[in-house]
Amino acid sequence: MEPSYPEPTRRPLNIYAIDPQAGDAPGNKVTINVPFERLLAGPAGSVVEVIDYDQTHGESYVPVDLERLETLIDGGLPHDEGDPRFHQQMVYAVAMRVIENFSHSLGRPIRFNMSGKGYQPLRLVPHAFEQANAYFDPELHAILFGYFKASEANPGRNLPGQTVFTCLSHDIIAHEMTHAILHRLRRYFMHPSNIDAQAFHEGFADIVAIFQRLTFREVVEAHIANLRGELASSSLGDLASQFGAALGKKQALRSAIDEQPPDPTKLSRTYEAHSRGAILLAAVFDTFVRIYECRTRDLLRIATGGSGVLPEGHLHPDLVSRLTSEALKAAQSLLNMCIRAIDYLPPVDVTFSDFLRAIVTADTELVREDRIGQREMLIEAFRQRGIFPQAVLSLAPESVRYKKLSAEVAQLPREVVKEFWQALSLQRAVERERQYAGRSEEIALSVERYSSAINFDADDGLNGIRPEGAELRRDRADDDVDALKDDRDSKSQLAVSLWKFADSHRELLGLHQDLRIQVHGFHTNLRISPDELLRPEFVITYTQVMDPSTLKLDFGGMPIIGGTTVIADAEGRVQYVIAKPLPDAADKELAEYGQRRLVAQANYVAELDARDPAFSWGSADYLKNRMNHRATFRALHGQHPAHGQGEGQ
Amino acid sequence: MKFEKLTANEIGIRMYRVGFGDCFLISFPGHPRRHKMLVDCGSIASYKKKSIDTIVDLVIEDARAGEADGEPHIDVAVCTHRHRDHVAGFAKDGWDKVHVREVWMPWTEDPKDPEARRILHAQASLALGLVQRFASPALAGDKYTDIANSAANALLDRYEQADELVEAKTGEDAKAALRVRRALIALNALSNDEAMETLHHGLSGEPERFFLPEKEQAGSARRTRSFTTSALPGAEIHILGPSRDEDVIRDMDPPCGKSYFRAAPLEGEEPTGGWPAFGKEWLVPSQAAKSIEINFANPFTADERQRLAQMNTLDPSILAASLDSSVNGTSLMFIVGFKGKKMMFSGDAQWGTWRRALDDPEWRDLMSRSRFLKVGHHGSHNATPTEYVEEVMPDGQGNFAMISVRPYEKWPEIPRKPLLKELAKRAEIVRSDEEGADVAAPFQGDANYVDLVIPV
Repeated sequence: MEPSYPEPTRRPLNIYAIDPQAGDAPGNKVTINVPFERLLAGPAGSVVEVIDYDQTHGESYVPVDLERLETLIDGGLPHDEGDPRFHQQMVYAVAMRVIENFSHSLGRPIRFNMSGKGYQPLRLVPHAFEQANAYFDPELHAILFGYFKASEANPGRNLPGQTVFTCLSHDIIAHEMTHAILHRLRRYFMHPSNIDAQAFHEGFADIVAIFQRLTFREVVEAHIANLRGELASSSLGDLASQFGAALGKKQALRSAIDEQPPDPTKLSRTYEAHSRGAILLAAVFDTFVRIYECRTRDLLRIATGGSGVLPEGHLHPDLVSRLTSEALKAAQSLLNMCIRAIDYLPPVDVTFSDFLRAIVTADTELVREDRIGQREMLIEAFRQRGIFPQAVLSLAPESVRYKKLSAEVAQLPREVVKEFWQALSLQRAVERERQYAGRSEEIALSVERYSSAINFDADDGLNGIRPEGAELRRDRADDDVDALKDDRDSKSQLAVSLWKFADSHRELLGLHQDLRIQVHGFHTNLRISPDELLRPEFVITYTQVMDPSTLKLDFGGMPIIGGTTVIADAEGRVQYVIAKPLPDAADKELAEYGQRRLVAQANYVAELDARDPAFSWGSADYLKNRMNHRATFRALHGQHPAHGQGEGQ
Repeated sequence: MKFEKLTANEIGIRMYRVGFGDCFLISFPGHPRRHKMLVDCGSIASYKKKSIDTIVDLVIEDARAGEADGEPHIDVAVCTHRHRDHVAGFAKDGWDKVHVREVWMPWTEDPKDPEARRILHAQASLALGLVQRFASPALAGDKYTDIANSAANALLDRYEQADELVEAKTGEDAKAALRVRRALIALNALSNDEAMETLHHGLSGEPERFFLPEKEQAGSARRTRSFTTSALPGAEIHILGPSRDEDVIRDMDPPCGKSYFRAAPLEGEEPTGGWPAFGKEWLVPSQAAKSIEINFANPFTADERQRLAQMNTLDPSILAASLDSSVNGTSLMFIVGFKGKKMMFSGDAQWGTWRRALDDPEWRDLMSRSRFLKVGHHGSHNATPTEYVEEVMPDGQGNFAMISVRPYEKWPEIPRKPLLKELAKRAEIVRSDEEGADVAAPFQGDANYVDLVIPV
């Protein structure tokens, strides 16, 4: 028998780093590498599949085959607006890059779950309909990209009336993918329970889109050469340029760079989700510029004989190259910091303050020594945008960080800790197979085994641990646990252990005394710190649902959810408890916090009502369920009256 | 109340019973003659079958009251925004005889302002598109189409005839009524060119037009915030909105552009096809479809395609409501002060304008001292923020609020009862649809209007 060929690790694919409007601008037509996997025509892969069905016309477009000689040699199909197969390829490539950034930062694979069907690839529909819009639809388990004609009157650099494809914008693809992944990791963040929640979804999706683009060497290099190393005033921070111009906006859809110096009071005067999200993005972008400037100061001194003042004219290509490397490093490290923070966020009711504290905490855990003071720069940039950490003593990183529990406070059950070792050995096995085996089905199987053994979310179909069980009584929860005991599935056994742990630590975890506890998610992360140490951790999320009908406040049909994120080290010692309690939480202080949260949520419902034009003309049905109408990506992204069409992406 | 009988210490406010609309005439003491300000004149559904023509005649008659030359005089005519329920009356005859000194409109009406023109164009074309769709022959095959069509036509001509349909509850009528109600909202936002022509170019006395608030201009006194005018001696005017702030302008932008509208079918319609995204050579032939689907873990099922189709349709009710809100967003919101008494007219200003005003310390202070409120948007919730009512509105004796409204059963939130209840705790309130006999002092009512006299 012939010896097998080693499986390649990367697959190069051509994409627009910006969009077709940018044309031949340097750095627009690039080739990126994505993790290799065997693909069927679509492309249909194991994590995403591109299905090119056009609802407006009831037709499908010919799928691209990326396993042919013609496409394997030269980064897939060449850049071509007129070939739908190039569109499919680009959507696949950008989506896979986002997934890779997440799994790399989080230290575990990202898989999507289709309601009732377990792990299933997410469907990407590049030409779903004729609309100036794109959005993720959890129910369809799909991201739908629209296409439309550019404004006749004011198309910017587009041809008047030309067709604009949202699926050819790197930023739009990355933005929607981020929505889908964030929704997978923190389903309740779509609940508009406070003014920041949906804004966080938007801002975070923008952050990933912009910073992923800033990890493309060609893009950054072109800017640095053009602007002589200056980043603060460049168009690097422009999001979805063609889309914005095509709508007649004369500019990018949003920009990470707005007025300088920033106005810290702007946040308190900004109410709409996308606009608030843009402020979050701007804060992170400011941090990026600070880090870049700090990292390149010495380079500039070396290049200028110590003065640090650049002479007139072009920069030396070597300097451009070195500056670019620093910018790429800064962008990647900031992107990783932001993504890692997701695990340190509470499972519900997120705020910008939570995000800031989560970034600082997660980063401290992984990167003990912060040599250039990135965390301080971040806190300062957020402060300048009016984002302050809540409930902290000062703006020092030690104080912004969540309080770390001492080692002996609580310990996860032994059988949970065992999972870590299993994870480690499974991951080794996967790597081994990747290296030596040639058959991809086996790898797929191992990955499947690996990821499902050590990770699950509430929507993964565990018996009894339903995310939105109707029964809220504690006795019922016990029944569920009993039912699970008979279940031989290791995941269910794990869920029982985790449930028991929470039940016996209600006070510590800020959980309600009587309400049923749901084990919402369990993840084992294997990350390598910059000093080459393995930093494993467990992340467990619990949620509790409260029946709003017993309360006098009007929540517009939205449930009241409390929840806690628990972070533990490899030995199962609980390190952080990040809680969004309900009123009547076991702990008195937390119970008061819960009460405040409840009132704030009701106030926010009233605030949204005040801005909702449909409220006046609405039927009784709409009024009863209005918050659930508002909690969809479609409402957030498209038709929602307050935003204007096309504000979505 | 008789305008000519008012004393030098009395301001008279008259709310005409226009049905679903707004029309207010305010008379200020003056010497040798009193001065009058008209705020809006429109309706989309009458009160007790009294047509808008009748209302216009009444207004013009009142404009004559107390004038030595026997001619109708209005010192300041205000158009808060170009919704039919606020301007329809200006499309009627008789205005060319009325002497007017100043016309005030929101800045979005300024024909020289490109941003204003853009907003106006976007709003009007969406409204036109919607109305055409609601009464479109494209809906053929639908057995309710004829009813809906005739009702929509009736709406265009004579609103009164549509009244019964709007209220219809059962059977075929109910279905047509739904469409008519939507058309009614959309129709309201049509550009109302005839009425606007009067305001922009008609009227007697060569009135000066002001588009408020005006932009700052170095070296010239502009009406950017607060001003006085010889047309209303003794009055101080404060323009609270609409702001030119980006966020406020965004709320004025209608929800969807034309291209979106053309392609996306409305509920119950077949897709119109649009243009193909790619040539025929890129389409998967139907016999090959199966062999491609086999690649996918989850090809779209028939049900899922259905859902996709559904997501690709617009909910016309939401669209119409959003359009309504965008036009309301252009509302001129102002406070008139006269001898220490302050009166607030908020047009149908929406959240964005209110928000800016409430965040402005000077405006907030003025609002807290305004003892008369023309309640916005017929008492619906989004034209009077809770924060204003609970934290800013003055308490105690001598506060008044007037609500011009005619309720529809199918719009249960207009007027919004909890809002009226809260307002009633802080002010004497009156509605234009209260029977004359029910109107309680200090208001006085008769068949045509509700009056209030404020002593100064």
